[in-house]
This record gives sequence, C-alpha cells and structure tokens, in this order.
Amino acid sequence: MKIRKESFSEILFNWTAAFILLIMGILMLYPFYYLLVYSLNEPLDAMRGGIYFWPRKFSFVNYRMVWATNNLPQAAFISVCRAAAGTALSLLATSMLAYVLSRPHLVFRKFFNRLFVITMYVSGGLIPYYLTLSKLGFLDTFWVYIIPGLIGIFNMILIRTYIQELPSSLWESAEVDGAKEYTIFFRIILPLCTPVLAVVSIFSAVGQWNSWFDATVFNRNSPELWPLQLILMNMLKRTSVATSRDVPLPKDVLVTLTPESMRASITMIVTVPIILVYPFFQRYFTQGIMLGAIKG
Amino acid sequence: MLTSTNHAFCPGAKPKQSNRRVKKRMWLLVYVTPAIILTIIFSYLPMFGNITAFQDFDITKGFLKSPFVGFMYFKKLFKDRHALLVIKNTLVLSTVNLLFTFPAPIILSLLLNELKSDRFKKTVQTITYMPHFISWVIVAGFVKQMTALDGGLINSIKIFLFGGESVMFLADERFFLPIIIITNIWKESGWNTIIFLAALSGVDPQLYEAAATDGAGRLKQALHVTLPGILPAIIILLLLRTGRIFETNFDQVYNFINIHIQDKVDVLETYVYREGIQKAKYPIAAAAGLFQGFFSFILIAVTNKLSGKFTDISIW
Repeated sequence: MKIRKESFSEILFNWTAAFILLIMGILMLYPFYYLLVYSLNEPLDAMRGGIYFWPRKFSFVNYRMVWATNNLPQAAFISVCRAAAGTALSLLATSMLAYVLSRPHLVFRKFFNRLFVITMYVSGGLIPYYLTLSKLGFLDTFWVYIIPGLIGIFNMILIRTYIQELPSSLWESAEVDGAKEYTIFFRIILPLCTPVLAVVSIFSAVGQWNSWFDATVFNRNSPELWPLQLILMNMLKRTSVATSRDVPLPKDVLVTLTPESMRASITMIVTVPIILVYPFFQRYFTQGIMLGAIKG
Repeated sequence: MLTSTNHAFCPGAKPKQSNRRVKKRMWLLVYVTPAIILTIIFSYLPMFGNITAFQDFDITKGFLKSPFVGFMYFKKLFKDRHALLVIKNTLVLSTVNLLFTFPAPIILSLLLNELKSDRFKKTVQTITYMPHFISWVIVAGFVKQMTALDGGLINSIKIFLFGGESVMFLADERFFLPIIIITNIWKESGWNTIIFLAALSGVDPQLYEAAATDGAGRLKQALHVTLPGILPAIIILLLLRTGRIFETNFDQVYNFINIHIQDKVDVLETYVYREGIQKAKYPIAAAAGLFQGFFSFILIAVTNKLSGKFTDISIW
C-alpha cells in the first residue's frame, strides 16, 4: 500500500514493541515448560534443583507412578464425564432457553428475561446456596456438577443476542408453513449458531474441567467423585510450603517419588488437554466476547 | 431491538390461524418453564435462604422453623476484630488489584496494535490467551514450584543477584499482595486484550494518516490517536470493574492462602468458606456473606447506571 521510507525512530519503535511482546510471550510460556521438564526428570535428581531448560535424567517414572496412585484414573474419569456431560447438557438447555427468550410472541418475555438476568448480579451467597443444595439432596452426588449450572445466564445472553441478529427471513417461511418450534430450533436456528455455540462450549468445557470448588464443598465425603483438579489442589495444600528441606527424607527408604515431581506431572496431565484444544476456538473468541460486552 | 410485529394480533388473521398462534404461545411457555424452575431453585431460593443470617440456624429445623435472633450475628461480626480485618483486607486487595492489573491489557493491546507482522501478532495472542484457560490451582502450583526453597527458579535468581538465603515467598504475608497482582496480570491480561483490540479496530484509519502528515511519530500516534479512540471502552470497563470492588476472586485467593499467612491476609470469601463450610458456623458466615452481597449489589447497580449514562453521553 504505502511505500515510505521508515525513519530510524520508527524502526526502533517497531523492534521495541516486538521485543517486549516476545519477552511477555516467553514469560507466559515458561512456567508450563518448566513443569514439563521437571515432570520428565527423575524425581530424586530433580530435587537437587537446577532443572530449568532440559531434563537432566530423562524419565517417565513420574507419570507411570502418578497414574497408579492417588486414584488418578478414577478422578480423570470424573473430570472427563463432567466436562462432556456438563457441556453437552448445558449447551442444549441454555441454547433452547436463548431461543425461546428471543421469540417475539413469547408472553411475559420482558419479565422472563429480567428474571434470568438478575441472577447474574445478585446471588444468594455461598452459605444459603450450600444449605439449599444440601436440603435438596444434592450432597455427595455427581449431578451437583451438572444440574445447578445447567443454564448459564451469560452464555444464554450470548446465544440470544446472536439469534436476534440473524435475519428473521431465514425462518419466517418455515413458520408460515406451520413448522413446530422445535423444528425451527433444531433444523434452522441451531446450525446457524455454530460460531456462538463454539464459544459457549469451550467456555463451559473449560469451566467444568477447571472446577474443584463444587467438589470440595458438596462432595467432601465422596472422594470417588473428586475431579483431577481437586486431587491436585489437595496435593498443593498438603505440601503447603514445605519442601524437602523441612521434611528430611530417611536415607534407608527408597523414595521414588517426591511431592514436587508428582505435582508437576499431575499439573501436566490436567493442563495438556486444554492447551491442545483452545487454539482451535481462537477465531471465535472476539465475536463471543463482543456479543457479551454489548448485551451483558 | 426486534422489529418483528406481533403476528397474533394482526388484523384480518383468520380465526383458525390465530388459534394456532395461541397454541404456539402455549408451547413456548412450556419450553421456558423448566428453565424458570431451575432458576428459582438454584438462584432465588438461596437468596431467600439468607434469612439464616438472622436465625439461630439449626440444620434439622431448616430455614422455616429455626428461631429468629434479629441482627445478633451482624453485631457479633462487627465486634470481631478478625472479621473487621477481613473486610478491610477485601477492600484493600481488590482496590490494589484493580489499580495494578487494569492497565496491563491496555498496554498489551497498544503494543499488539503496533505489530507489522500478522503472523507474529496471532502467535503472541494465542500464547497470551493460554493462561486464561488454566485454573488457579495450576497457577498456584507454578508459583509454588518456582519459589521452592531448593532450586526453585525465583530463589536461585534471588541468591544469584542478591546473595543470602532462600525466601519462603508464599509463607510471608508481605509477598501476598504482589503475588496476587503478578499472577493476575500473568493470567488475565492477554485475554482481556480482546475487548480493547476490538475497540482499536474501530478507530478511524484516516486519523492516523492525518496525524502522520502533521509529523506525529508512531509513539505520538499511539498516545494521541489510539488511546483516545479506545477511551470510552476503557472508562466503561473501569466502571464495571469498580462495581466489583467488594468482591475478590475466591479461586485465586484460596489457592495462595496457607496457614502461615491466613490470619493476616484473609478476605471475606475465604472467611465465609472457612467459617461456614469448614466449621459449619452457618449464621455468622451467612451474615458476612450477606453484608458483602448487599453492598456489592448496590455498587454494581450504581456503576451500571453510570456506565449506561456514560455510553449515552459518549455517543456524540
């Protein structure tokens, strides 16, 4: 387009901006890399420290051991289940509600919209919420991960806004032909909503995958229902600040795992799925965020 | 808003057709009912459940039959020195957090905006979005690993630069706020650029050309064209964030709190969790939660109104 000789200060400016961003990028990536390297090193050797760029004694022993202990396969199963079921069911319920609330001939439409949106700004607070769910018999069940959060109001607003911006001519003819609401929804609206549904499902799946608080509050007494994140959280809390210096290891006992290397490898197990998935959704992020900013 | 007309009351519609419309309306109501029931149970019932704060709550008697004690637990709360410290901590933490973390994504998006290579820009974006998708549990794990006493990177650097002993950063309350701020910047500033970058793309390119012909360099253009261009977005977001000043991020704080520092850095969310859920002292914890929720709601309502006003004004 414009061809113009760049002044020295301009070049300097370009390079400075690029350089600062490069440093930032490295700072954001490095912790992941650090733990990856640490988890791939032989645990006792890793305790000596100094592993910053490359494993000194490469080994998969951490992963093999960690997978065999701590009930990890069970926790992974729970995490996968709640991410899959939670996302699918919430997507269905939320998009259906969004559709109904976008229909102009719904009676009390404004009132219903208010009823839902208010809950984004006012919440009962933790204690009444806990007491309510315990009264309803949700304690120590898998469903406490799914049902209370079935309808995400923020996500509902995203989808509703998207539907309202679609040209209504797309389904008016179907309406004239007497198509049922669910036909219009499943056959016409839903396929058109792919971009916004992609955003909502990644938000929802990541939320489910990362969640540990509901498990620790509602399923405190059912360790078999704990997701990976809670196992990891407990591990972090247990070895709170203590390191090998505070807990001298007995010399005659053959220790194959250290808390640090265990933590590092579980962290990798929990993190890698997310890192692999989210870049594929990147092109939808801006759209999703902006929709939310307008109506949220 | 929607422009579709209300078909059911169209003059001249055949009675048979309007019958169908009525039926359709009924079906819509049927579709919306489950969602309403869910919302009432999981959102409105807990709001009502806040009467616990005014009761000598007995879990066997429930919300309805527990005896009322008026504002007793609120009085208790405001006489408790730890609770008062907790309220102060909450406000300090969220204010300081807002002051330091808010500018980060703005600076980052201004820098991203200056990049010539789209490919480099996209790569940086992908990388800086990543921490947003990671849970605070993992971020806390990173910090723990990096600040480990033996061979942790931060301590190694500290000893290399300043000498002396390793420092237990996480067990020292002086480092608590800096850690909260730094991790917050690390985790969310990349993600928060999205909204500013969108605002940036709306700045009129002619303004840059005009500024360039007036002899403004790139830095001056960024400061005098780009920044004013996204100022409305900045102000609205700042207002909305200010509305949340009574709240802290439980997920973050809880993962960085430990027994060494919890008496000094406790905030309302962690206090409510520890007193209510872990120690089962429901009324006092509910009172603390209600206190927070009440003021938070007022502030959110006020800032929302203000931002609504501002957006209207800013249209011209």
